Amino acid sequence: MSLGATSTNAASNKSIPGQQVGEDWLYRAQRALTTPMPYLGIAGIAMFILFWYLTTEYFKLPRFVKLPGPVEVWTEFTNPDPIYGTSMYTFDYYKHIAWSSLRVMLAFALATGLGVPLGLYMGWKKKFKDYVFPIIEVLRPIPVLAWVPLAILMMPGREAPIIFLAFLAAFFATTLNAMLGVESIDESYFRASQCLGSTPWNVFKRVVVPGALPDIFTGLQIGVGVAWFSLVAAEMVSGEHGLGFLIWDSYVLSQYPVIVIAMVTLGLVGYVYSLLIRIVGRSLMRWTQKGQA
Amino acid sequence: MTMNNNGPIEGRISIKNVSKIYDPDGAKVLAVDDCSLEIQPGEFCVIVGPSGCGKTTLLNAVAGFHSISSGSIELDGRAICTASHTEPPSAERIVVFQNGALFPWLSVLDNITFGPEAQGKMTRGEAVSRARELLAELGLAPIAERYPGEISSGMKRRVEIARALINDPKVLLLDEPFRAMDALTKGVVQEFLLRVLDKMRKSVLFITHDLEEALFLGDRVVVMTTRPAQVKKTIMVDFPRPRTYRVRSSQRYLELKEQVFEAVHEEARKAFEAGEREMA
Repeated sequence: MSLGATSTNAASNKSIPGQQVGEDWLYRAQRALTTPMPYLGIAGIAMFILFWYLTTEYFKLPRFVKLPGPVEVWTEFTNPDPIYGTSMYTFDYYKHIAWSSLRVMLAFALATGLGVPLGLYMGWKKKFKDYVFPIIEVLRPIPVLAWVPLAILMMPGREAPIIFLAFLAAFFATTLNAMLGVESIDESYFRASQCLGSTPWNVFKRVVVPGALPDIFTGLQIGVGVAWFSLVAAEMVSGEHGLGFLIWDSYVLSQYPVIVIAMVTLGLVGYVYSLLIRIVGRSLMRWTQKGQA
Repeated sequence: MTMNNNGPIEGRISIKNVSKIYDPDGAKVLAVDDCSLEIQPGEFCVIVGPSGCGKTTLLNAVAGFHSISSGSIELDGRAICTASHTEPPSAERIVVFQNGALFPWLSVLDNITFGPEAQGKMTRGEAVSRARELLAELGLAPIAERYPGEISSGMKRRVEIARALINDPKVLLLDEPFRAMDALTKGVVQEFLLRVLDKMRKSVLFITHDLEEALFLGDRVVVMTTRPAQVKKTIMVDFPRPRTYRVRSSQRYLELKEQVFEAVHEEARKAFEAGEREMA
């Protein structure tokens, strides 16, 4: 900025973002297609599938020969009358997806609803953190699988233990990231809001929450990932529906292609979940992208 | 908001025999030692002194961010900070911070309405229309809808000053607000501050390292000693207001600069030598 240019500078800047709103997303997608980025990704996936094909179906290497190859899996998946009973044409396939999704949503909603406020409060009030943080730090490293027996003993029915296990893993991620988010807020923002006459509730609403938002969303991303992760473990141990159950059941029944179908489905569904969270996060944090622009 | 030329009747800060001892790890450090200073209503008082001398400590005590060990600080005769009692920060003494503290998640407009809304003095609608008036008056209207991350550092400082002024504070506390700026931007923002204060006089406590800035802005320049901070010398700056950058080429300016420079240089050298001893 120079001495003479102040007002013109401000005026000309103003017209830029107005034009881009709405077209922004499309424009960026179009731009991305002119760079090597998307093609490299596709090439990477293609190479992975080629490797899979060569080892299992073409060369039939010793340790790979029992694994289902990509052709076998794809044939089974697109078969209206599947050999092992699960394909994109069967109701069962979608039922398993729905069960797992529903469980993850519940567990994730609980982990968000309890973990984020708890973490925010811990980050904001040092005394409260001093009470709570040590317990969390001791409980956190315990692997979710170690909780399985207690979860079954504590929780009624079949569903509650599974949801509890998925919740538990996500809960630590959402809580600790929210806490770190508040702790990362520069002290001068708190001081400034005090100078401007804020009540504590106002500080919470207008400094603590928005200031921690980027880290909260990092926590939600990690949280939804580990929720899926521990859900599948829980479904393998105790469950009668869901993708984790499907994997284990297919293993027991030696229906190997179904295992891979369920695994790839897990990967895709998990990706969609974290994509949704990222989209919500972006729309709530316009200011961070604008800052970078 | 209408700005007028009525001199303020409020905003007298009396710093009386203030000392501050820090005790971080058992070793007591005297940051401010028996410091006394009185800022008249509407006076622009600049404090200069070597780095780490305790200037910011003093300003933070006036703001209400921390306590003092002895002495008292009064605002219009009311004790706001003593050894036993610290009145929490409020909108009557607003700080403009060294690194800037505009909320990045709020637009320029929302940053400015933050104070009146937080204090419940105005409804959202009233705050917005008043903020727009103020922005227009200060030539900042074109950037009202933008986020702080999108505007230049010079603009940010101006917005931050506006955010303080909408609350009609008794005192403005500025802690090296223009430190990280290039010389041209700094000049523009300094003139902006002077222009605003010409319209809307406030008591100002301004901390800086920059002696030129001190003389250009201040009614009075107070030179502090190296730690523990005490008042070493007070220099009255008698250029008439409104001032322009032309002040800087006058003969009187050079004389005053000489005086301030001499006082500060002596303290800076002491601080430097003290630093060397600590290192050895």
